[in-house]
Amino acid sequence: MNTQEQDHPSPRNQRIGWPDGGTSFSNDRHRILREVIEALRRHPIVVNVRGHPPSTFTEVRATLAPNRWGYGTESATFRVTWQPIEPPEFAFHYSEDEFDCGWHYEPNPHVDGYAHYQERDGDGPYRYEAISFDGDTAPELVWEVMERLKQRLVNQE
Amino acid sequence: MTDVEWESTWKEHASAFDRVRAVVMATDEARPASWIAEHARVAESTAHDHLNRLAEMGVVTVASTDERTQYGPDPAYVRFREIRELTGDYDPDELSDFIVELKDSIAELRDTHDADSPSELRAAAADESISPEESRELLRAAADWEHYAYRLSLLEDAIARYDEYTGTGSPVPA
Repeated sequence: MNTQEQDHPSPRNQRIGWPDGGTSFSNDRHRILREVIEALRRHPIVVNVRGHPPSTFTEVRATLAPNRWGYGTESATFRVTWQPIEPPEFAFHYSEDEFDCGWHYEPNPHVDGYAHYQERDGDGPYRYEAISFDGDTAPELVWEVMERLKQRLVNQE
Repeated sequence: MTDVEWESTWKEHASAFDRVRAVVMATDEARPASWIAEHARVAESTAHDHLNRLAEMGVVTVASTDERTQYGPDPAYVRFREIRELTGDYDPDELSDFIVELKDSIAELRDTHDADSPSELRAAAADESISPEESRELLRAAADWEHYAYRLSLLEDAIARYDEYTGTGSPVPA
């Protein structure tokens, strides 16, 4: 994750709320989840994607067609959450019958650091693995995680 | 390598303009064109051209000093994009139901944390006597509260001007 500092915030930046430290807008989560939706809409295995629930829009939910990758599942769900605190916390999580897995950046007692992968079969215990992300922004992370998902599912079969 | 593959897939399905737009709209603070170019996987000159076009379209704001020019999402554009989604997908009755749910969510946060505002939660999070995990939990609650409050303002605007935004109102007499 990039932690580049902003050395010289302009008056304009300060006026509209880009701070020299901390999070910025009250619209952060809307803005970032909207970009997650826009990125997923372009992905070839995404059937539909929307903000959920429509009242509070706390996450993104997508329906995937993993069989377009040659993987033997016709339909699966994909959830994305984003918590705009410092540092941001996020989770990209895939679920199908009897298997789910996710790439998360949030505190977890099972791994050192925030970035981790987790998966489980059915209702069994999760297996955890510390990871790192190449991407930094939400659209980068969407495409990176979708590629990791493809690798995971294809390798699983 | 996975990183090369995901970048290739992204480039295959999103143009340079789309990638620049996506990165600048998702950035957490104002950024120079070079930073946006790096994250959008485009040349800096390409990012610069697309950012200036986005600025002309009112999608991004430009902040210039003698030392640097930085770009970030335009708050008014962000706001109206969300209102347009709401008025395009839901009728006024549905939007009113959403308002009730949002107010309930805010009331729940208020009761759970015995606080009157997100800033009060942030102040509590800065208290050195609480654990780091308790502090992050309060920061999450503050972010949730701000998110709900922002969405509530969107919904109230969407309902108040629903006919205007959807073009379903009666024409204004000349």
